[in-house]
Amino acid sequence: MSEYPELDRLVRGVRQRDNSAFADLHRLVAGSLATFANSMVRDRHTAEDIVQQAFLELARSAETIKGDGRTLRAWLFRAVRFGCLDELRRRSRRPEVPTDVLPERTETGEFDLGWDPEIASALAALSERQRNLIVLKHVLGLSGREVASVMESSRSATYAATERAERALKRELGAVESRGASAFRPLPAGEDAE
Amino acid sequence: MSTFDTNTISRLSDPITIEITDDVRDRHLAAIEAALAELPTVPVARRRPRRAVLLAAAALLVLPIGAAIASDSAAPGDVLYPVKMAVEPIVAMFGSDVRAERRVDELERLVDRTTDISEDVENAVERATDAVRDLPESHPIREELDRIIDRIHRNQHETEDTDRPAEREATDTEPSVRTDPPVSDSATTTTTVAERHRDATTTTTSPSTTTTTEGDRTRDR
Repeated sequence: MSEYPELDRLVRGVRQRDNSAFADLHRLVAGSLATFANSMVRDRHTAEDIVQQAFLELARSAETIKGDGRTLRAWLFRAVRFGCLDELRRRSRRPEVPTDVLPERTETGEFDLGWDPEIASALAALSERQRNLIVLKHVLGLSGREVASVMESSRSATYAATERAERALKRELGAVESRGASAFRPLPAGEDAE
Repeated sequence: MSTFDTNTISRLSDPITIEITDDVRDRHLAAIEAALAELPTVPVARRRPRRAVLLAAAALLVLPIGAAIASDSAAPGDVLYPVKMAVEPIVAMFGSDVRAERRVDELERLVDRTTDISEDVENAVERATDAVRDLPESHPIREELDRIIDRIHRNQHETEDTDRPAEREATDTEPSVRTDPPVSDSATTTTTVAERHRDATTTTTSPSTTTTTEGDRTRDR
């Protein structure tokens, strides 16, 4: 069963702040949202907290939600993306000193998504925005319309940026594989002008 | 098609590990419930008069559009020629890619919504395929259409593979990370149409999409 008809059905419930609609929505999309967040903040617990914040934000602005299930999902992805960007900004202002690391917590800076080392290294060399595009499209399977909406950009600009990101990842992947993942040093992403 | 080969795509998308555990979900839902309890409930909204507004807007557009259509055969010096010139950039704006985008969106919405794949889907596939025909071979809209047609295609396989309700139920209860395409019993006929049209999108013009992808790869090296 696709999640789309179900998402479409949930829009009205969400608008009316119906608790069960929120629970169903959480069941449908929280995993994808956490995966996306984790690709940005690279820490599972922070990612899950950001997902929760996105849902709380949705609860507050529920009646303003317009459109179909995809629009609703894109809204949440956008909220998660903003949450992650805030978190990354906070970190860059106040470099984190990991004094009290929880045992199940991965080290800051490592992806937690089970990518093989070459893919992880190549992705790490991309800009945040390029990584967002790759993850939304290829990892989470969002459509062009949704990706554009999450990234708050036009369809055509998103297409062009996604293509650049794909080429950059391919180039990085080639570079990483040719010198071996162990000797990996990140290269500047180069092509992302945004 | 995508810049990536299928191997790269599966290396990216296969090993997803984030699944929300029950206690995290419970924690989130409790917080959401608390937040919702503090906020006022939104009264059941009247259906907004969106359709009426659209119709009114359409009525207002009829006059200029009539003039624009009439001006189509106008030549310099004709009364309607300035109208034709005024309309030209708009026509260009709604050129082949905008048109294709709209047709592909329509198809996507249709495939999203109907688990019953009907004649509407077949027609939408046909319209979308026609609309992308004018686009360059490497245009992302073609890729998007291919993805949607692939989805229809996968539906067919899923319908063939899984007529086991127990299995279906099990997958339904898992937190959904991947995009599961809708499953339909009537997918078979549509997929045939979809396949035919997919073939049409990739083979009617030369060089083929595959060739273009190869070209991109070469350029990247």
